[in-house]
Amino acid sequence: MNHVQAPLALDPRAGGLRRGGPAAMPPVLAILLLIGAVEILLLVLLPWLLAHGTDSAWVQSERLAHLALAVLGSTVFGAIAGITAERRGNSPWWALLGHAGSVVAPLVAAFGLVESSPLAARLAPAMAGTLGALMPLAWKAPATAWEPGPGTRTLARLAHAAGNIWLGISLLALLAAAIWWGSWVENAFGHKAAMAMIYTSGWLGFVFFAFTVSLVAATLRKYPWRVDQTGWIVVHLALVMIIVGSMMSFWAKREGELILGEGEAASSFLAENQTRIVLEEAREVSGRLSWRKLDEAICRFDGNPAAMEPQEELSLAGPSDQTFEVKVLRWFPDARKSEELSDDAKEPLFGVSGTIEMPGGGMSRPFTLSEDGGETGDPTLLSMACRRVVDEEAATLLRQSGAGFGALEILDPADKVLLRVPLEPGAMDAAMAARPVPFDVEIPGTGIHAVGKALYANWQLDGTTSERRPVDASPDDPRNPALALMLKGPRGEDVRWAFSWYPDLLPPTPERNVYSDLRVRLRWFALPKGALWFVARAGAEPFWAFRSRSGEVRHGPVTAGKALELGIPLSITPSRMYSHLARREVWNFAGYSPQQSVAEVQIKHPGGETTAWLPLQESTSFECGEEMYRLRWQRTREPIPFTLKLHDFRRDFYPGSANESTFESYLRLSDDDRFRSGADIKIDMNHPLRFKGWRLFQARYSTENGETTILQVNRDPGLPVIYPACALLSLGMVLVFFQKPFLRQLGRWAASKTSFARFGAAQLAVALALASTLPGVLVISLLPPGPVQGLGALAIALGVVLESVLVVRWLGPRLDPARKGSP
Amino acid sequence: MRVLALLALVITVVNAQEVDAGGLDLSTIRQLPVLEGERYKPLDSLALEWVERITGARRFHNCESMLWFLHWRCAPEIARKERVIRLTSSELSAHLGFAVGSAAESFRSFDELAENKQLDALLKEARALPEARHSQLHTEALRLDARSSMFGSIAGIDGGWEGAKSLGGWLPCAPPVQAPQKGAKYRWISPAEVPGSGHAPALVTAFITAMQELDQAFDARNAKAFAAASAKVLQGAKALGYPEGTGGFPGLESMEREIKLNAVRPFENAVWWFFAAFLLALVALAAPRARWIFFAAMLPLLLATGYMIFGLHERTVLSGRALIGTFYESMLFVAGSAGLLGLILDLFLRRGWFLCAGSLVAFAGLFVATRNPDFMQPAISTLRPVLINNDWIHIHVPAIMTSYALLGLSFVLGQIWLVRYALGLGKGESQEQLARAAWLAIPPGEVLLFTGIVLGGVWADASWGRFWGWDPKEVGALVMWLVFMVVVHGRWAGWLKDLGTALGTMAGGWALLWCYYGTNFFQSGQHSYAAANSSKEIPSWMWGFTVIEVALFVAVMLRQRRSTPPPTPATN
Repeated sequence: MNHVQAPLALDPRAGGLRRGGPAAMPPVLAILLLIGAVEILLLVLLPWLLAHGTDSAWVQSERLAHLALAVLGSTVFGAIAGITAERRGNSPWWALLGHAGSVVAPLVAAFGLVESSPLAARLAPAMAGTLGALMPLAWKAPATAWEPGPGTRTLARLAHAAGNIWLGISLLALLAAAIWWGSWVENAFGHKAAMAMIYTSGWLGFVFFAFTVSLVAATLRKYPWRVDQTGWIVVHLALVMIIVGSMMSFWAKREGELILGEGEAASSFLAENQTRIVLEEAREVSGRLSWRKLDEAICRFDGNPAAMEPQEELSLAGPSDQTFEVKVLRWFPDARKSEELSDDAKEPLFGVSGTIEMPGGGMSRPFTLSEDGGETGDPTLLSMACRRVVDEEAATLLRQSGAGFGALEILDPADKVLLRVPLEPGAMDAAMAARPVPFDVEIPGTGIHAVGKALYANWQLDGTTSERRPVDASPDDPRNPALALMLKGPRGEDVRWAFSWYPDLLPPTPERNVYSDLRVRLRWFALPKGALWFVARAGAEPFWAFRSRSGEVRHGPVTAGKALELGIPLSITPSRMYSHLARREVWNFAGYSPQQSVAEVQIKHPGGETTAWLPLQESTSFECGEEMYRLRWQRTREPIPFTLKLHDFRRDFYPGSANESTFESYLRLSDDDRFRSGADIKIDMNHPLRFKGWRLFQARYSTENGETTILQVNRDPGLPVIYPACALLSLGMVLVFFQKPFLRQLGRWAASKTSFARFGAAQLAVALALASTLPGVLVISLLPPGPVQGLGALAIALGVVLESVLVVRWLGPRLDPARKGSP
Repeated sequence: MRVLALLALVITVVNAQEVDAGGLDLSTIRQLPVLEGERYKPLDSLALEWVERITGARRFHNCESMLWFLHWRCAPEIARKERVIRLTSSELSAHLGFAVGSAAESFRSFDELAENKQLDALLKEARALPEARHSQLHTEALRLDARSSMFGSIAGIDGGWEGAKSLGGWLPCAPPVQAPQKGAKYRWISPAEVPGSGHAPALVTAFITAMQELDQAFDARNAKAFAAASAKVLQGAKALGYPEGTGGFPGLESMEREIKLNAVRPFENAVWWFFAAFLLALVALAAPRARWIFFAAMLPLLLATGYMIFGLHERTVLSGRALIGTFYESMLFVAGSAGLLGLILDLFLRRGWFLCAGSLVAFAGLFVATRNPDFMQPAISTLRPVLINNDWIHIHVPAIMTSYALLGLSFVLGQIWLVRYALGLGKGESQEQLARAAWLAIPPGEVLLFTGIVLGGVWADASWGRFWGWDPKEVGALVMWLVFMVVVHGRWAGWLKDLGTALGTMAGGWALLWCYYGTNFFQSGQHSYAAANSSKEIPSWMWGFTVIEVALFVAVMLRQRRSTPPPTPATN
């Protein structure tokens, strides 16, 4: 017999809200979901997209946070307004009134109130939202309850479909595949390219957005929620929070590096991901060249290293309404600079190139020396240099084993030698850490006396005391000969320094020197121990001279392709000599370390067109008519609201190796609010400075130009959202995976109770899930720090399993009378 | 002339035979403290590590490492002609013009390598190129050169040690006059450097004489003289003054403790006990009625776990740092955790599947870890500054590794399910239990994995200044979590039944392998320090594994197609 079943008469309301019908979400929730999604797109995403890569205040963290907060407030007020209206029989589209704050917030920001009056800026959208939320209460309820129209019904069905688990699974799989692909892009093109092409790309952002909408829809469509869905809701909510927090980080995070040498102070840092091209004009100030900034432009071309021919055009304003057009033809994130040598320079410059082969065979490296360069090579092994001598006497002395000779020369502006004083230094004086040179000679015809003070065979600044006084670091080894003297005359006293190998180190200036028209020169012809010199001389072939550590001197002519007979295991073979050495910059690309970014730029200016290579943090100069300009490519400098000064940087090494076991920066922190007189702090590995929302970490160091610390600077407003969300997600997973049977029983028990009891039951579930992680947390927190804490992780896993078993097996049957007596 | 010289070399090259111990007592000289690899250790450990790196075996030709070490040091002119340096790549062998074939051909002498022009050219080429452009041949050549240099250092026949032959090769056993100071590099010196070290002449003479006596006694295999000289060397080195305080010498007790660990070889022993447990678990599964076999399988597992706990504890105490600091140690931890979790889970379920999978994962993991000295670098080592003085390493790394163990168990159980299914054995209650077991391991694994990822983020935030940096390792872990989440959702939605779940664990297993192994070895990132010797090319075992997996997938699909009933024709 066939029975015709009457259709079930469904309650039009469930959980206080109007149902949306089969395969449809409650209309009010669908409306709230739609408004929320549109609001995020318009209020947060759109301003960021429009202002990204500019100095606009719309990408500053304060404004974005203000807008995000407005959206959050509107979501709450909108929900209140919509649900109130719908329950009173009005249209749930009244929810829009609760979103009044979202209209007010951008207006407030546009008028600059966020910066000038933060409290008013926050209150205004909140007040508008509150008023909007109260409006449905003030409005009279209609005689007939609201019925959804076709548009709302479609929306409810679409929102329901967005929460489909298949869509969720597909998006999960898509996300997994996309970011996995991103790790390959990173491998091929580097981290920056992967960030640009995948991780921060618009399409992945859309996938994340769709995933978030799907998560929220999946949660809303289950309304009215049951107690046994507590864990599931917690997980979804936590995931949404993580995505929101990540977006906050992405939009408003500040990152970069603070590079400080010892004794230096800074209150700004170099931004991680933004560079600028700066146009500067050359000027002469007090006889010195200085550069004045004319204009700058933010670069976009270096966002993606995979796009190496960006053809980006930047327009920079020059003086007198002139425009300089800069076109970036190519750029390479990892390049290495090398030199191309030739012998066609206009000015004479002596140089030698060749190869050094290390003992034991195999290790071989090229070298290039020129007379305008300093020493090169490993000083503990061998130092090399090119020198030029003016007379044969000096050349002869260089080839002898003796200590050589020295003389002081005083010259007039036309380089005429006015006085030559042979130097006869005394024994080392402990007090001055140098050899006294007791001479007092008048410069003929001037009335000025040259008075000798001290002679240093190897002048160095003593780094062990704060005074940094000069000392003779190795009196028997003329590695940096220097002389201190005084010029005494009718106009006063003038202290002078003369450096043998750096004659232009301290040129006399009218501001500093009384007798600035007189130059002093120290001539010292003696090879230091362990030094190899290639020596050029007028009218004769160059020769090499080498003084071993034991003092033995060897010398010979420089012949291309013939190894020098140094008498040590090291083999040095000159390959070419240059009388007019010219160096040209050549760039090699791909995969070199250390990384050096370089761009090829074409500069169109009123005086013509120039193409040049422009390395990051360096500059290239060009002429435009009579004027000299330069283009700098530099990382954006961002301010921090305090000042740090590096006092000392220390490293320590593992015994038996040159690998560091730790590095530490000792700094002084000055801040107008809290540390006016400054506070001494230390930043080292895993012990960052956290101050005013900024965090500074010990990242790296450099010893290229003295001891330099490199601190990572970070300010991340998303973390206060991400951290609790992650904890919530872990907790939710425990509930979902391990306590679901118990939650079902708890739900059945609570079904007959009041809504307050049901809420209490859900809270109990969360508390129990938390309790199950406690054993591991206790192990970690109670035991002393050390390897045994690792057992905490295992204890968490075991705790989750054991406590869940206990809860489900023991507590469950007590809540479920139907199963209480069952076998 | 050169041909004759080469011929003479070929004639004089000998295949290495075992070294005659001659009844020497090595127990005293083993304790000689040395400072190498950034830590103080007994000579026993140095010999084990270096001989293993050079020859590939801890007992090369069934002869203990200490003997090889002393033999190379005391008889360098003989040793340099012996084929003891391992050539791991047949491609490189062929390139260098060496015969490829028998096991003996994979060893070459120091002289053979030093005279090889192709090797010289290849090394020069490799050194001129940036590392990113190295081919596998370059990498192998550099590794071979490193092994050859290690041999040369011990034997005192590399470039830097020519002048000091009379006092043997490199052996950093003598403390210098200067004690370690903060901020200054510090190293111990070899006997050849002691005369010029600035120590008191009497101490220098005593130490040098003792070293020479030791070398002579070893050469002559004079047991009595060797024992006496060993004691004198120990005394002489101690008289030079072991440093105390921070960064100082940990004491002779620590040396003895390390020698004991070397002798017990806990991880090498645990391998075979895990294997025994696996075999017994298989028998227990085949004979479900004989419950005593199931419990018997637990005994070797317990014994192996005991070895693991002892070994890990001793390594941690001796290194004075975190439990897991290197890829090798992480392998040990994953293997040990898999075994222990298999044991614990089967104490509840009592089906034997977890026992079987746990012991299999533990055996495979330990086998790989202990049989690949080049790749795994088993020596106790120090950590990078970012990893030390930090409690997160004790929390984040074990959490992640335990999740690997759990998800690895799920993967192995899924694989067993698929193999049984493909072979037509996939019916009945046992197959359902197996699928359930594979599923049960996923939730705790996912919870721990996510917790580990988050804790890693917290650590990264504290150390590198960012919570999440899209580092390949972070991405790998997230991908793994997402893949298993797809399995979880698929199963909840009813989309994935047992077959789907098993295939899902296959995908998850791949993600796990990629996260654990691939990101460390093929992708550079901030976790690259976790890697041992990275490689640019995918190793052959991974290709083999891929082929097996694809074959299994195809077999399962074919079986599934056959077992699906054809659609019933529509009838009116």
